[in-house]
Amino acid sequence: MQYPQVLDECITHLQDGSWTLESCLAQYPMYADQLNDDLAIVHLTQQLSRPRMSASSVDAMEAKLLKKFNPTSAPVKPVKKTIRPQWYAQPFVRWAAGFVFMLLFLVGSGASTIAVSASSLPGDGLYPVKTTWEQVVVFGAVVTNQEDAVRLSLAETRANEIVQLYEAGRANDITGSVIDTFYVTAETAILQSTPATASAYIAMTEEVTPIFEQTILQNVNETRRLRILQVLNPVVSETGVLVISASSEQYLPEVEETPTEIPSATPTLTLTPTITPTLTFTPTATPTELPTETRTPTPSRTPTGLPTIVITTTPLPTMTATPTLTPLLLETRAVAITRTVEGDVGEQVSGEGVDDFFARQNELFVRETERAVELTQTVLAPTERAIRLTQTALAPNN
Amino acid sequence: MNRVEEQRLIQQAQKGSEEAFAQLYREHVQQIYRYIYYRTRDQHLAEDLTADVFTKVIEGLSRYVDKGKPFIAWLYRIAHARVVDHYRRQDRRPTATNVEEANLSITPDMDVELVKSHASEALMDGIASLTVDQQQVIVLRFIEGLPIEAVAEQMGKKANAIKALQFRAVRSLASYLERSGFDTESILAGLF
Repeated sequence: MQYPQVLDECITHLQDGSWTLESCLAQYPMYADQLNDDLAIVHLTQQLSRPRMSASSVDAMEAKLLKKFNPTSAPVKPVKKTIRPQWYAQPFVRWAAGFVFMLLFLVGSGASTIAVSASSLPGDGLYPVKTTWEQVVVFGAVVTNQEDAVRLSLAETRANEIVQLYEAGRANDITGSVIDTFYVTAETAILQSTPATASAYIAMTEEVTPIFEQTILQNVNETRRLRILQVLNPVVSETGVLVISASSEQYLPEVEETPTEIPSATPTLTLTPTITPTLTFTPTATPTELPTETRTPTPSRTPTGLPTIVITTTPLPTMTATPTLTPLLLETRAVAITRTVEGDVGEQVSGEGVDDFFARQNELFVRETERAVELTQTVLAPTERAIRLTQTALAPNN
Repeated sequence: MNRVEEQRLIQQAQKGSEEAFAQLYREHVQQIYRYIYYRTRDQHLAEDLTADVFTKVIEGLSRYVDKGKPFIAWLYRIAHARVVDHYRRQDRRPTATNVEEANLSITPDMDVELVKSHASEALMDGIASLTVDQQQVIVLRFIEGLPIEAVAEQMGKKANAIKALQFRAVRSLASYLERSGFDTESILAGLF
């Protein structure tokens, strides 16, 4: 049983005399302290005098009233009355309202859309138009210093939307987002409240609380339930403005009234939502530093030295092969000539044949030598080019 | 007066019966007067505003439609409007400032009766600072002594809603007394 029911049960039993204060406290020991205080207030209130008008005053008043009494002459036709909010009476607000009206007139079709959207509910197509227009109104209210009245009006609108959704059988449209929006709007209205709007806000909550208790409060989780109850039960502070009730633990279910819930009932509870967003910024900082780490290894220069190694290796096989051929050829030629001279000397000793033979051999030797030199130069040229390239490649590293 | 009798009187008054109107007036005048008195704390002002309420009743009686709520609920709405209208014209409300000006608080040498007297004064100011519905619940439940079901019927609300209103009203009064320097423990010790 929740505390308001417990309190009423004790009041009823104390009134009919079936319980004493002690028996009531014994019946509900978990609420003993609060019951003790509250029942003292109740008892003190019951002890108040019951003022009455004197009989002569009642008679005199009756006589005056009966002189005026002629209900059939009263206008039967109901008087059409334009209901305007209290803040509309101020000149600057009227001027601002006129400006807004002109703006709407110029906008034309946009105005009619806004007007139609005024009755829209969460989940309707025109609902975003309604909420956007409300932001314009809030801006205007800030300029005209009427924010408290507009915030109150918005809280009433959000609460009525939930009631209307429920009454229209659209309970599925009462989403967590809709409930949270109501909570945030109502909390803002409380924070922006002034003595002028405080009583109107409480009157609003008294209208919607019974409906909320029978509908959404039975279907939401405990966190949302507690939040809603907090904004539905604000306390009037010494300065006359509203504050979120610190004694929110009394709305929790009886099973959850463990000591762990008590710290959450301190006023700091209302501040926690404002702190949490700051924590969400910390993870965003880390990804921005990662690219700088990936840039540090810049290996683009090291591959530039590699081609020089490839070039130096290619000329080596051609250079070693050709020079070795040259001495062998010369040596074999010399051996062949020697053998020819020694073996054919008897036949070819006299005459011009020996001279021609030596002359041809000599020319052949000279051509072979020249070819060997050319080959050597051919081999040496790429080698020298390779050496130059290698030196060029090494130069930047030095 | 039961609901059937009340409806009969309303119909007769709407047809022009002074006697029926007089009966309705006598049935409810003290309750409306007390309601206004607890909000204004001024006997003469409460009488004047009570007269205003019944004048409005005469003016609006022909348009009154019984929607299942007691006649007194309509009277309370008119009374509330008259009080609000009065303070709007005066541009002030009987709020906590009255108590602070009075500087009512208890001291250890006060006897129980004096504490009770001062606490009662503060409590009446506290009632005046409550919301309309809260005031109505306090007056009907604790001053008029009606059971919760009767209060719910008169106010056109459900019993659970009245219990919630009653709880908030009591907490607001406790808070008001505390701010005014009254210790509920000592009040309790003197009263029970």
